[in-house]
Amino acid sequence: MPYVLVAIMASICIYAALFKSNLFKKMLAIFLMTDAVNLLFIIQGYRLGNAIPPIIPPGMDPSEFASIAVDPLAHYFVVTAVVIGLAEVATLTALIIYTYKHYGTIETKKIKELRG
Amino acid sequence: MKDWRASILGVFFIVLMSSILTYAFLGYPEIGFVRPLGEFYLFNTYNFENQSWWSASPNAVTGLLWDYRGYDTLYETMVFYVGIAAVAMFFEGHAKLRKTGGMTVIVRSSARLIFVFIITSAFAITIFSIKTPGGGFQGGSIMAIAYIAIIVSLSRGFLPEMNLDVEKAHLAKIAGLALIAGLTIVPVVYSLASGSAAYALQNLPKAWAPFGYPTFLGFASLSGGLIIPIQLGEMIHVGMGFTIMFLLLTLKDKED
Repeated sequence: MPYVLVAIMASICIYAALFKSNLFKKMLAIFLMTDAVNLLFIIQGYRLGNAIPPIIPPGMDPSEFASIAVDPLAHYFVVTAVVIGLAEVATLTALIIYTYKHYGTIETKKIKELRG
Repeated sequence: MKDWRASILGVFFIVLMSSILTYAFLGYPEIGFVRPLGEFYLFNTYNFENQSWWSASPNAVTGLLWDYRGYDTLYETMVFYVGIAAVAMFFEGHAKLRKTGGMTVIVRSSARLIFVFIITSAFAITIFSIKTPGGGFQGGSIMAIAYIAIIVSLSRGFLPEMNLDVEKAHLAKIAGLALIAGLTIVPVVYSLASGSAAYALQNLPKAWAPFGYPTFLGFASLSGGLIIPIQLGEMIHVGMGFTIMFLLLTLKDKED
């Protein structure tokens, strides 16, 4: 079930990125697709039962901690992906502003129709 | 007529793509079980009895970020730097910052007070990242929010009065990166000077490489080796990067 929800979210984002003509909507779709992948990582890293965060409580035995904590790799990948996503959104936003200043529109259909 | 056909095609596309992705996910491991590599990191991240692979960080994610997978984080830092540099390139030749009215006196006074609390919170989240969720990225993002609050409530032109404009923010960002670069290179310099093995971005001693940053600061406070200083460098880099980005994105062109 969690995989189905991630698949639906990713599919909607892929549809929007491919078929929407507004550059801002495309950028939002790409950003949300990153979030769908991050959600997939978190789902993958979850542990059933009495799971605890990947921060060892004082005095706990490392073996016990390793057997009940969630996967820290998933959280690590999400932190990395979020930062890269932010850099990507910053660059895309600058590109969109630059496109608007140059063409006067951010609709790809209208940009295609413009002739030099 | 054209709109409802486009909608139906869109729904069909989404259903088709969801099915393909769900089929692809069937090959994934079962949810609820942690892989052996994850258990290795959990077991070793703060293991006093066996310090061969420990990172001196009770927070396993922070230990992963700057110890076990430090190179990945280093390259990610470079990606962020290049992203901000790309934004700065698009807005080359921006207008000089000018003070404008800003918002009401209540908002301006509150913003000045909140600014101090937000910066303190950013430092706390960064410094305590080895014991609680947080880190340099998170602290830097929060630090940038303090400056955004000033931009929104007091105007962009107020930042030079706080001794911060785009050029100074660039310098501060580079200082953060220099701290990260310095901590990365110190083990290499030690290795060249002493003739013993050490590798770039090495945090703690290994059996084959004796170099290690101190893990306790004398008053028995856990420092996590190089993790806290490098997180501070990351905080400054990310915070100033976001501040530059928001300053440039809200500035008018030079010719306006």
